[in-house]
Amino acid sequence: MPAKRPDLSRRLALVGTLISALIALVCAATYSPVDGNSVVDITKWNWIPSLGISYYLAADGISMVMVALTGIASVAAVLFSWNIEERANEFFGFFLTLIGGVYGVFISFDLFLLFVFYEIAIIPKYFLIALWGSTRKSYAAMKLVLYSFVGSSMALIGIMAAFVVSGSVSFDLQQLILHPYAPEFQRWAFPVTFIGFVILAGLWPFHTWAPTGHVAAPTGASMLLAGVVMKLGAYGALRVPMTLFPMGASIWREEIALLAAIGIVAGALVALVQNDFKFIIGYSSVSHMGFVLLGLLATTETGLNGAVLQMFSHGILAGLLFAVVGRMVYSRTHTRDLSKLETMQVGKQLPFAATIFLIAALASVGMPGFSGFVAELHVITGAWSSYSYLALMAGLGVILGVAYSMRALFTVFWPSASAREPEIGTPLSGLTIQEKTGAILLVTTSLVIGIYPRLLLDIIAPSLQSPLLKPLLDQSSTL
Amino acid sequence: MTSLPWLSIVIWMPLITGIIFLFLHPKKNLKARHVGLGISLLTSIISVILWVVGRADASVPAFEERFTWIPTLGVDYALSMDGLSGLMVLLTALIMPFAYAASWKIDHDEPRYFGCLLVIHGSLLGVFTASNFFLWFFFYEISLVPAFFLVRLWGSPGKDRSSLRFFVYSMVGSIVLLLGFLALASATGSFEFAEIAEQSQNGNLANLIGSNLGWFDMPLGWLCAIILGLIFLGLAIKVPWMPFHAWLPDTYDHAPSPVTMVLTGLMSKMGLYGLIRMGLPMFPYALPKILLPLMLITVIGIIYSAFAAMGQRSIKRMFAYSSINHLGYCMMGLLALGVVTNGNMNLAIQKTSVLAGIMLQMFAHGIIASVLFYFVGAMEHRLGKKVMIDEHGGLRTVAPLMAGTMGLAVFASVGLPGLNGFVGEFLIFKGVFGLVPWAACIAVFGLLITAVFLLRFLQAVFQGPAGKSAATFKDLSLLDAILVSPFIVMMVVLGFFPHLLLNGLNPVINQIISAMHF
Repeated sequence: MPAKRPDLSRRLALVGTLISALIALVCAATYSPVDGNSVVDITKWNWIPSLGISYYLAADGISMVMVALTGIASVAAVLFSWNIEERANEFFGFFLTLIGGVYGVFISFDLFLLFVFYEIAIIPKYFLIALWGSTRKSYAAMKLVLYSFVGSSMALIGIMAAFVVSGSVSFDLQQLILHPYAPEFQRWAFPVTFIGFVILAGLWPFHTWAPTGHVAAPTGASMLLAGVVMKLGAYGALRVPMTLFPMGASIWREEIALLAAIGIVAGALVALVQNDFKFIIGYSSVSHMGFVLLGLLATTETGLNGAVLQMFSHGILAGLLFAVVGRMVYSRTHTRDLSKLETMQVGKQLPFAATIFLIAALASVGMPGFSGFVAELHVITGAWSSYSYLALMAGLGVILGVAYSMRALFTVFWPSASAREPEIGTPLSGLTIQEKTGAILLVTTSLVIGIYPRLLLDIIAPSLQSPLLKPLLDQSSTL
Repeated sequence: MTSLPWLSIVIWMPLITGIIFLFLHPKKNLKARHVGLGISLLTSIISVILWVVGRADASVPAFEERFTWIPTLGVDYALSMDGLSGLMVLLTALIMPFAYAASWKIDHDEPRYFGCLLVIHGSLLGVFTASNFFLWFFFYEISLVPAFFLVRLWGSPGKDRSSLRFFVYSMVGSIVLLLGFLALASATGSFEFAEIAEQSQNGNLANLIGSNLGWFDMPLGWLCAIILGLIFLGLAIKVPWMPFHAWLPDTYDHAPSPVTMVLTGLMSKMGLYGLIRMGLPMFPYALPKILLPLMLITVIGIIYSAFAAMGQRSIKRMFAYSSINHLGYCMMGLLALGVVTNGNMNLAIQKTSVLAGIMLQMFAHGIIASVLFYFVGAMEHRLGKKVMIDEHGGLRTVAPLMAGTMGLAVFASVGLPGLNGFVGEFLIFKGVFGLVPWAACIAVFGLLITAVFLLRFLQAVFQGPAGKSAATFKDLSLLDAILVSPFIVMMVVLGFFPHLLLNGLNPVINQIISAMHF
């Protein structure tokens, strides 16, 4: 696409993501298990038969939820990237490649193929941050990519190990699971693979790449990175190590769950003391991903339901929060410093942004009526039955979430009259139609799922009963 | 007609109207407040009819609705109205239109103000009729947001800090409560209040907690105590229970008077209602051990808040502390229900007396406090500024009607026999004397101090030589009189005929007490 015509690129990107999103949503709506098997095949070609690698795309309920999330989040991200002028064609090129890779991960049931898509998703991230980013972009891009590579290498080790131990027959997940892996093998294979994947999900203490990276990234990229790409890690963790090595999971889950809970609280505490508006959101993402991981590691049905629901909910809400901070506020005020924003009367000049941020903040701390509440409830209920003390930590995380969200909301949008004398600088331009559309799209999604979560839960629940995940759930109920 | 989902109608009609109002442009919708008043009145009329119908057969919950909502949590959209719910629905039906009308002259952004009131109206009805915790919490949280905005956007100077404090305290309380209740839900596998009460009655609840919650080998008693502690603390902030009351005086002071009427008359009752529904089932397993310190703190709070009220110059703050004091008696009664009876019939009778007293007091305080804050608002309106106790005098001569009616309301608050404030307090004290005598003995001083500061208020403001404000002080207008008189009449009637309410309450009281067999 010609570099001089950014409008062509962005329109094509919007059309592309809209079409994918529509297909995704239609598929999610019409998805149902076939013959009692929750995994529905899409295509399967033999790719490298000598290594048992096939181009095998399929989806179960959890995949469909993630695909639906990617659809909605990608459309919103394109809308919020409408203002990219410089080298827009390349921007959207990398953007769409990233989205393609993400879609691929969610519907790959051949682990080699999953890994390939996982890697495809990493390269565009580097360029998106390094070329169009802000604060310390080169460092942030490099850090993010290095952590991602380390994580995916660890995951690859696990995948290869499973392949080899099962007889080097096939990378097909449904085949790999048929082999009974010895407990001693699972004892090391599980943590290596799991940690490998959840580095990308921001597990504490391997999370430091995330706030730096997301802050440095341009808005559309942050929305995707925090919203969807972090979920790749959690999804991968559920799909690969938790499915293949359930015994290993039951050995290690309490320790890793503790890390997840620490992440919830630590992320929130650090968010509370930030003075950069975007860093607050960046650290809150780490905190919210902790909920996903805690739900996963509770390994009960309620916990897993909660984890997947939280993946979807946070994907939408993180996108919304980064959109407000990055696109609505920062691109107009050119500052993210809370003390400067306090004087700029942002709330008065951008009432729509203020309202959206209020809604997003309330939704992300778990206000009933929005998706975050249902997800949080599932996770905490699940946690109570597995690790009661971690449920208490999660509750503390929610309280801290209220604290940093309210702090951000009131400092930036509604500073008290006594704060300081407002400086009247250049007035801030109003919101564009793309921004409003994107915001309303995301808010509506969260609201709909919050009021009628069965739209997602009805697809997730049967998948938890499939042969893929049943061993995992059975493990926890025998404890 | 009987198959219509009446409870959903009365909840969602004001809620949805309110939400629509929030998006209306202020300048273009001058008739909005009339529509809102109509909706509020209609909701209330239907609610009163529901209450009357419900009490015809008070032993069975009425107007039950149940739809599957979130099967993975075992949560249904379930509403029902038993005696206690009916009482609170009635209270809401009375106070909300009262507060709405009292706000008629609000000076800016009217559609949004009335929208907030309507959303609160709907969510209050939801809280009081929800059958399970999920729905209860849903409406509870929803009511917070408009309450916050009502204080922040229409309050008096100082509102920024008070509104934020109110919101943060409430949210923290909610989350603590959520944590505690989720433990219960996780253990019993159900969010339904009735099911959890049943497990408590069977004596099963502790076992379920022990076997289903993953903890280190912590003694079961500790775990139960922690769960009860979380639930109690979360709700105690709302009542409010000292020492977690700090948000209240400022918030009541800076909120516009009609909003204070709603806050004190109705929203504080959400906390007590929650404690009755959610706290009582856990009492048998954890409360006896920690009863002494909790009761001590409650009684200290009763005395402290009474003294604090006595020391206020601003009468709005005086009445705010007085609210804390009155609700303190309810908390004292509630905690007394935790005394172990071991089948002693006499003590069980005392407990029924206490619970009846708490419910009557909830209703009575709701009415009395709303009327008192209405009068405060009326006085502020006439004087154009905050009412201080020492700046006025002799208003009786220029405003005899107001002196008379406000005086009557004040006496009801003091607990004069013959007015409705007496019955509830009497029943609570009678029961607590039998259960935790030392607490009742100390708390009686609270009654004494209350009488002192309330009478002093009447004397300073209405009696005595005319102060400078008396010249321009107008008496009750026709509108004021119309709004206030039903409540004044109720204060007298319910003072003489409390059975009008008690008949509908007795079945549910007996149910709750007999479920607490320990």
